[in-house]
Amino acid sequence: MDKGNGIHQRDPAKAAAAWHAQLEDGASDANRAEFAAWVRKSPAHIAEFLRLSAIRDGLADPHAFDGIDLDELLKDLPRNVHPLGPTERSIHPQSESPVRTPTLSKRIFVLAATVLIAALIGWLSARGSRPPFARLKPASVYTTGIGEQRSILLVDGSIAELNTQSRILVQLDQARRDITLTEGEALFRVAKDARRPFRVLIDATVVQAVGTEFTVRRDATRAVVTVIDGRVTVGKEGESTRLLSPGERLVLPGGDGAVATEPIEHVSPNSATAWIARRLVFDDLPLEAVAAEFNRYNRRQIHIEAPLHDRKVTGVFNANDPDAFVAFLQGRGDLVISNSTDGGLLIRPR
Amino acid sequence: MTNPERNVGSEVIGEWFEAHYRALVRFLRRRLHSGHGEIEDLAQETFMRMLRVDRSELIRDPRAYLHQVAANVLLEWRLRARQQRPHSSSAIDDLEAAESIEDRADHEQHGRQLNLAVRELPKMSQAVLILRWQHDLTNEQIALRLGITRRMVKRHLESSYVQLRDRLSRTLRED
Repeated sequence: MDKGNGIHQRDPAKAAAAWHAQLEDGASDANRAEFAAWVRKSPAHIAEFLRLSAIRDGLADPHAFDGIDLDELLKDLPRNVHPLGPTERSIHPQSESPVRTPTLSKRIFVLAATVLIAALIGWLSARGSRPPFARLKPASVYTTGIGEQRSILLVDGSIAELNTQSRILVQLDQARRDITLTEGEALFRVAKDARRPFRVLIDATVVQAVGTEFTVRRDATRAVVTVIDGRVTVGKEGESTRLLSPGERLVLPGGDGAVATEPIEHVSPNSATAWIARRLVFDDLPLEAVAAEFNRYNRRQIHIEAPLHDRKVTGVFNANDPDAFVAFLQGRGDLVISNSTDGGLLIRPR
Repeated sequence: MTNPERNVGSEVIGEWFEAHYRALVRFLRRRLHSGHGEIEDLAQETFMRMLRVDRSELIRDPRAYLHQVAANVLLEWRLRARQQRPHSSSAIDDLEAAESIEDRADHEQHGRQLNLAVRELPKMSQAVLILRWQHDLTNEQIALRLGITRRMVKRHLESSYVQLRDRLSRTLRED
């Protein structure tokens, strides 16, 4: 791999093309730092880079090469070109064939890496030093602000989708995958790995999965676990746990991890993950809870006067658009909406 | 068809990002032809935000980060545009960044123009592009197959990208 070979093109279009070609071939840290510096030099660089992103996206569509035949092309190329088999899928019988499918070469690399790591551990423990993987590495922290959402690809291939105002600590090592939810809500799409359980910790409560999809949400007084796909167990470490199946939700009132008596609720997986599309789905929910939900996403807060707290609301709204929700309330005619002292909105009965 | 970017980089993948990345690509595709206009405005706004972000975060996967920031800017433009119109519940659908019939027609037109532009490239460049984008080979594998050096593979990719960009901006402008 070329290291920091430098792209010294003055013309932004040419430099952008060079960067695309460089980055898609795998980039070293030096490359990435240099690319970041180039991007931060001029908006013209960004414009050209984005133009090429659109063109390259088109090349991934098979129609871009309609009527162009690879074998025909190769026939007309100079003699030093290796002839191709009849189809792309043809298998090379000799293992020393120079052409490998990407998966095969990748597998070999993974194997080599595993052996290397194993050798390294062996060497370190032989020297009597502390094995580097005996304890958890320092956690990586991911956070979102008000109204922000973030997808995080974890190194094991799992994906964490963070909702607004959330914070997770991620600790991955060879024995476990521990995520601590300290604030907010997250959806996890867990990559299968039977050797390393995937656990989400909320205070003393442990939510454990092998390969599945589930959301975990915590607020001041309780934690809510909803399973979208697969199965998870919920409970205090070392004590009895409850098993949840798709569409099931468990509400944990305290942070002590006790799960013995709470009833299991049934929810629609679609509404449980609607926040990913920034939709809020309310099915006969008290107005106070609905306002609290909007307030998680928006700086402009909605306040509901006490007599209205239990008024029921049903509907689908965009999380970033409290105005549409207020307009919906206005349509009812028996509410008065005014500005509150903190710059938000106050809703009270007429 | 797998996208080589996913194999090569540690691109941040997720439904949310995917949807907005698609919206970004559609936006760009439709405006490729304008010499100076909305793409420049988007780049300007993206640039301002890139200056504000923490460098280390940018360096981890700068290309994905750039795309994400640009997609966010675009999303916010939509939101703002929508807030200036009177509320309607159907407007919520705009946010889904779903592909409309018009988008599909655009997509097909773009595909045809790209196909014509690819045919004008030197044969070796065409072969490199097919192996790269349709067969998902790495530069090294392409080099082995075509009996050229890796450096040449990269050079073919670079010059193809420049030519395709020039050709597409021109044909669209002549329409």
